[in-house]
Amino acid sequence: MRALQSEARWRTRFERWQVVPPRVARVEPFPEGIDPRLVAMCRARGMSELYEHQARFVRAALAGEDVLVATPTASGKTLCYTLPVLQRLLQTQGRARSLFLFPTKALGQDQSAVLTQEVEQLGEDWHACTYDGDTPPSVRRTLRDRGHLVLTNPWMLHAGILPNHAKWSELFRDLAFVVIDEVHTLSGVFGSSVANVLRRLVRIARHYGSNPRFLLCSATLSEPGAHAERLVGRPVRVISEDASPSGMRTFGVYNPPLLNAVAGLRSSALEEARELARKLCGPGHQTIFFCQRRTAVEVLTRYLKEAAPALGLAPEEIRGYRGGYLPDLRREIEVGLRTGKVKVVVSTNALELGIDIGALDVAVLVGYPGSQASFWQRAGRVGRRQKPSLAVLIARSDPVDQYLAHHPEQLFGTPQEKLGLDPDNLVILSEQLKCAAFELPFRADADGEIGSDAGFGRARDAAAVLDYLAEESRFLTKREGTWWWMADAYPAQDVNLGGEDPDNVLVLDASTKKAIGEIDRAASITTVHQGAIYQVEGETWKIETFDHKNRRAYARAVESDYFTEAEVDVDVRVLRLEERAARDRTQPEPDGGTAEDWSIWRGEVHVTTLATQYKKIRFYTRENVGAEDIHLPAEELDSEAFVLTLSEPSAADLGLMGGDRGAAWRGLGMLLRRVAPLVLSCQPRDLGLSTQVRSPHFRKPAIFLYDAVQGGVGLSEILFRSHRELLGAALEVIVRCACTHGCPACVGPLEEVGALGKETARRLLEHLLAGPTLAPRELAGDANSQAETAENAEAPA
Amino acid sequence: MSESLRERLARLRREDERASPPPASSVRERLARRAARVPVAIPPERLVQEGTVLARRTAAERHGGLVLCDALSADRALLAREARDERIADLDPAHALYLDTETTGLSGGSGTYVWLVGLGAFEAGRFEVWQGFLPEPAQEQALLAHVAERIRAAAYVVSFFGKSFDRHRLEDKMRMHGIEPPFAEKPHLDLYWPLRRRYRGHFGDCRLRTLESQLCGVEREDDLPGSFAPAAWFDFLHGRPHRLEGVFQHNLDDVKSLVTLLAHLGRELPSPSAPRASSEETLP
Ligand SMILES: [Zn+2]
Repeated sequence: MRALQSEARWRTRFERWQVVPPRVARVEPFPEGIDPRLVAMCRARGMSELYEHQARFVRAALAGEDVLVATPTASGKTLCYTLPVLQRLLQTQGRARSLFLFPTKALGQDQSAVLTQEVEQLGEDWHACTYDGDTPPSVRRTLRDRGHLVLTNPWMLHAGILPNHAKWSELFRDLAFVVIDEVHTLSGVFGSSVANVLRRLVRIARHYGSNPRFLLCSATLSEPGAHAERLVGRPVRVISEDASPSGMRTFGVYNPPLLNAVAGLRSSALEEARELARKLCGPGHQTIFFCQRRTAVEVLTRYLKEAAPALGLAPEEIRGYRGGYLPDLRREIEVGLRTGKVKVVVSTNALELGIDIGALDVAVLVGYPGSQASFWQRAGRVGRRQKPSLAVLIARSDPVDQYLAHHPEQLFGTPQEKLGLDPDNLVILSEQLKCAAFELPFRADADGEIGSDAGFGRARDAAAVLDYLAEESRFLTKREGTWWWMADAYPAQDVNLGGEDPDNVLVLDASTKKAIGEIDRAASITTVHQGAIYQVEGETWKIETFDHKNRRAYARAVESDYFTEAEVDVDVRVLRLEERAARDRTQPEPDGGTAEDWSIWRGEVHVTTLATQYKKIRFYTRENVGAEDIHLPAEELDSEAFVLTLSEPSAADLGLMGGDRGAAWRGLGMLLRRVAPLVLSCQPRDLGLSTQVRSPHFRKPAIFLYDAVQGGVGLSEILFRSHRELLGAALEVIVRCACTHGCPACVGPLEEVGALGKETARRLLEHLLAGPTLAPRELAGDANSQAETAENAEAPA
Repeated sequence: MSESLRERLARLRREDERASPPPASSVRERLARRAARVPVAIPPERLVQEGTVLARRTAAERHGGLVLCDALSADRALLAREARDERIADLDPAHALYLDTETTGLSGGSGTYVWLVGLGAFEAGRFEVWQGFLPEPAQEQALLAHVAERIRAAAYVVSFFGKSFDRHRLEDKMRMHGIEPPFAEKPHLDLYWPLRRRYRGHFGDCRLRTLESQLCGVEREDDLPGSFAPAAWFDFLHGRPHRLEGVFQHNLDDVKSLVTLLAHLGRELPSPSAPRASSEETLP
């Protein structure tokens, strides 16, 4: 590290070094009434007092509150929830039970070992048991009747426990606490599904007479309370001040050198990671690289394996790791990391969560992971022991990365971005209501709604969805104000929580028909089309055929010196608008009236995505060595969008005219999409973009940012509320960018945005941010009927 | 002219792409639709409201060519040995309860209803089958509470594969309704296991239908396979009761077969001379 700080070559490229000095703990004695056996247990592990945040959590939990602790990795969050759970167990002589949910199976198994040991130390016939897909059937029965602490994951709760709740009636009768770890991972489709699984859980618990409290843990979050409330359906007390001590940690923010200042072109982060590896990898310590994309993991792993001798390592000491690798391979790499056999690992976010790989020494983040929560989770992978640790963030030529390279304080300050979570997404809600009706019938209140239901009472449109299911799907029957499950089927089996969609495409070795990987539906048309190069652990496979209908792609291993990148055409149509805010132009119209300046909207859209062609790009040189057409059906998506429209007169005033207008407008759209992770916890790919210079629906320039998930999970709503922050960050990126006419770090390169693109985008943003803020505006009565006109207008095209 | 919630749901759920109704029931539904065209629907007759429960009682003397009372003279020690449960040696088959249920599905889980419970018992040397029926899902608790009491009062339970199936369906549903399940300490003679041990490989499989025919000479006429039970009840709830009678009959025959098979098991027999086939067998 000293070399990096002193050698001239590196020194100038680090925008900021942040050294977190050792911090002293703030402690409190154990709260009164804590069982002496628990105090003794903690003392035996060297904890004679609690950190303040632990003490506050324990007191709130024992007082019957729902609590969330949102503090960094290694701040002693586990103890926060184990103390109240064990205390209540002791107080009730073993009657009070608790259920633990971990977002991955691996985490559950890790925690199980610890809890089992702790419960055994209490010296009673009480048990902590893991219930997951690996639990043998012979053990399940004992576990159901005698497991005081049951550790499981959302999938097992959804498909195994809740549909068979009678078998778990002992647990539900006395369920005191529901513990959920890593709740910041519960966003998007998965989080929205889990929120519904929790509604089902509350409903079942209430049926058996218990009313469990939620004990939640998360990484540091923006608005943790709001997220927790959406997740569990009721207000939660938040504890977010970390009082734990910490050893010395060093963070560096590294900005790759400008190759061409006019074009604003910086050396690629991946290239720089390869260069930095010579300083940061070696036989004496363990280094972890985090990449943003699966392909980047493959490319970097390949680079590093080739450079292994120069690093003093053997190629097999360098491994790639990502979702899509089969479980056995992943377990092998995890063990290699724990035992120290693996010296370098290149990973996606797959290693971000608490899977036990031991504490490593150096973390290199190739690009900002899209959220501060992820940033801290990744940086927290190193230095858990008392050894000094180093974390380096390599900024990409990307607006968010460049913004943070200039504002590193934002990384270290209060988190800004919000998590998207929408338990009332109609697709998710309707599927989950099916599962819930299977578990217990729904009874309508006097008003025909189900407001008094313990789990779904607050769900929007729940009764109407049940009616729909009763009438359309024939799974439910409504009799005398009650919806009953009436089918010979087990719905949880067919309902997915997300992340492992049945629509996923399986990638198979064409000769052995063995699975080599998996990819989601939306990404499949751009990654496993015929001719695509698909990469697994640095190996290249060429897709021979893509059976789109049956969701299977067949690949053959090849030695490829290029990778592929696909291009798409996107068409967005407005189906229904739900909200609008606008402001009028300052100059009065000739007739003395006022006219609209610009507006933002929120509503439902239909998106058609067509993969058009792919380019072959040489590894290392990134030279374009050819292009081919892609012949696949379009991907259809119904989702929600945030829309920004500018009136024609304002567009004219701001110079958004002439031949370049489409390019400049698109440049602004690209920039907004790319800075969105500053206000929203997401990857740019979670948001789709379409820019229209004359939208058929609005009849003026429009930028659509839509949720790339069927039905949407609330991202558009966050953008609508945070549009000022979004526009502000975009303007700052443009102003700060060193380029003259646009570059990948702001609006996009000159060739894409045109000579006036950067200037126009800047003028637009300045205009949008100056003057009065937007005011809510009624949706005109014809706002939705316009959609038809627009559709008709578009139909012939 | 905004889109209704219904239309939005259909669109968002990609209803057109879904394999709508699951394949198993679509066959049944086609059959049900065809059957629904039969002009006269015949509801089960002789159903009587007994307190909170709707039930029908049928006395029976014979099943196939066999006299049901033969079961009363079964060798108890032999039964206990075959069942590997010594408690049965002290119990009188006259005080046993012969149990068979019809449900809305084999997959289990809380959404499965036990809609017909057949309980056979000897009273003063005469065999009678009580069939408790669920005419409305809302009456499940009443039916189950009644069934639980009858089982609790019996000396032991006789079933065929019921330890693995009927018992669990009933237990789950009873727990769900806050009824203490009666099975925990109750001796339970599940005829499937001892008969399977004795006759495995003799008749191709060890289903109830096979055993009653091979061992007791029972041949059923017009039997509606048990797999029709879910659809028959769903049809009934939708105003088409035409197949209920068939399931009642099927359930009645199943209960009577329990008696004849117990009688058979409780008699020492020379081992049948048929060769032990190695063909795969399926569960009943
Ligand atoms: Zn730039």
